[in-house]
Amino acid sequence: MPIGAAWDTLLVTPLVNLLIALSAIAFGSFGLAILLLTLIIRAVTFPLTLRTLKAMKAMQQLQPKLQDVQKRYSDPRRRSEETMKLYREHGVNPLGCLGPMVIQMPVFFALYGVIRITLGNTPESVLELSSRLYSVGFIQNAVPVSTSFLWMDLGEQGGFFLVALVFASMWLQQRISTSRSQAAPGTQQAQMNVMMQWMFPAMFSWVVITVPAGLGVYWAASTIIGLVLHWVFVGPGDFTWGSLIPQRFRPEGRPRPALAVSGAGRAPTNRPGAEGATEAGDDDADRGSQRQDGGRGGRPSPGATGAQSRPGRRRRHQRR
Amino acid sequence: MFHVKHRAVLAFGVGFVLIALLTGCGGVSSPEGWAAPVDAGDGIVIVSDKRGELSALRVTDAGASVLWTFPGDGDDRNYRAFYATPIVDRSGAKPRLLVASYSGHIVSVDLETGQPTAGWPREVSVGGHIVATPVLVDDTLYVANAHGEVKPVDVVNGVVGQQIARADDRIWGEPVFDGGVLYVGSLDGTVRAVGADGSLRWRDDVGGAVAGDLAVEGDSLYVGTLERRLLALDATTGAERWRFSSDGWFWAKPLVTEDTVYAATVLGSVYAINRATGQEIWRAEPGSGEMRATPALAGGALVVADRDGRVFGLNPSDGSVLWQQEQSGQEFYASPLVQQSALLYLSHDGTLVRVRPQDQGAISVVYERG
Repeated sequence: MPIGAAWDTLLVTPLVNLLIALSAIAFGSFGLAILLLTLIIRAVTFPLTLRTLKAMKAMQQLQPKLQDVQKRYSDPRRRSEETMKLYREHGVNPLGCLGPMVIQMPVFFALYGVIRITLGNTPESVLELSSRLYSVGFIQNAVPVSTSFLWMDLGEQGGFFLVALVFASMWLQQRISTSRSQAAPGTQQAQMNVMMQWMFPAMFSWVVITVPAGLGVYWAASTIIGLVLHWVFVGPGDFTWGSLIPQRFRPEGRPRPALAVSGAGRAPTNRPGAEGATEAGDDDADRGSQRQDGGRGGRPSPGATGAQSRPGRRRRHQRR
Repeated sequence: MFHVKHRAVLAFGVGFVLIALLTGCGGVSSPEGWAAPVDAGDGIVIVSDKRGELSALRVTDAGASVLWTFPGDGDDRNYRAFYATPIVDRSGAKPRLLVASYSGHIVSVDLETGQPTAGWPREVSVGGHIVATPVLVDDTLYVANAHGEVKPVDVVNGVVGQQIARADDRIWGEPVFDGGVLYVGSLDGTVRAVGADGSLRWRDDVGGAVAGDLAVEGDSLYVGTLERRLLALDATTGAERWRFSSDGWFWAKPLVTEDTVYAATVLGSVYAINRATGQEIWRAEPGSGEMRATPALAGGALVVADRDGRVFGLNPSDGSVLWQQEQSGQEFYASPLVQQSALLYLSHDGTLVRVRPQDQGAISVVYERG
């Protein structure tokens, strides 16, 4: 069987019929059908997700040793070998976290086709749908489905609120899954984390702008479920809700909150100076640590603000 | 470090592939249209194509030549597609075409030149996509749109009146006007009978979405639904006379004769149904392609065409296949134009083919859109 036909027969057509059947169950609402499908897919992939979350937790617990390796070995090759050795010794697969995403990707692509087929507003798309439906009265009679859900037309491109929801949920997921304290400050890893935290949600938001809103609903719902699972089974890492407040709006002299405790029962606090760091300091942790790596003096003392550390930088510019 | 690098590379890779694939495919499916060819007299046939253009063809036995195309060169208006069959209006000084586009516009086109008719607005909007062929009654064109509205348009001056009917979903099937009453079916699963003044005579819930054209014959209204049922309703009261269940959606307009109703489903089945009782006379499955084109009686055969480019001649009395022809690569959605000795089918890509039922369905290409 050619790949295209297999893709259609094994994934797209069953999903079309499943969604139509779910919409019939969900009082004719295709939006609710998408949410039900998301729950089903998440339930089916839950064992894999759980394994992945456990792997992530193990990775978090391994961080002190990993950073120790990075400190100890300056040769990148040796460092890499020792890192891999550490992974092997502790039975951790560094790529294990990608499992659910890799599993979800074919579903996401298939769902794109499914939503185009199912929610198409043109007569041709409805006619096309007829050739996909199983000969089951319950399914056949449920067409055409209603394309409106909440404030959206699921067949049209996603609007601002949906895009904002996708961005926010993905940002938060990235934020808690790449806990800042996991990365040695100033390292490529830390920079990569920050980049991924913004770029990844931005890319998906762009996709959601360009595709039918139904797909955005699926992705947002799936991400939020993933977020909840991560929070429950791994914990939020060093993320606190207070850190979302811009620094200038935070009350001065506010007592330092303890870092959020991860699901492991202990926050990863191996970063130099991270113990008891203020949220303000935490916000600037990466910038501050870059300065430390650059040999430009120590990390700003607890409570020091970005403004206090700037004069030194300004002086260097003047020297140049 | 190792794992983060790989994770980042993979994540960005997936993201870019996703963007490339999804945005490259476009967001939502685009309309292509399936208006039936129209006989404009004097050997002229009007055809539409996927590009949202209409062409006037002079059709002869040897082939066809293009007289004009609308919109013409230099006219950048985009009507997207034509599902509604253009209407030839000869009531005025000059014959014209009344064209309803998917973009929601009504345009009056001079039949001789293909230019917008002088003295009429350049185009008139009815506020929603138009799929259903409008109905012309005297000087009023009743236009149904995708918002479920039916609006009258004065064809003398192009003024759009207040809606006279409103359904809860799209109207895709051609309404019919009979005895001073307009009958309208909608995807919301209802059929309405409305007076010309907008007064509701009756409203009937038929169970499934009505996507196809309605047919009225005598005092009965025939309605096909996507719930796989064909119903006969009393045109005066809306009372159900009979309902016939099948294996697939009824989208093609049924063909009603003196004692039989012929109907095709999108699963490719053709039914002959007793017009008085609603009982099945015969059932045929000549092919497997979806059927959306209305069946036609010509040359002693019941002619049906499907999406696989096949045309079948069936024996009207028992449904046996008398002949079959194929125009490979073509899809037939549009209903045929029945002429004296032939049927003209317009394929989905704009190819006009002639089928001669009396000659075992001999099929030939009349015109191919370049």
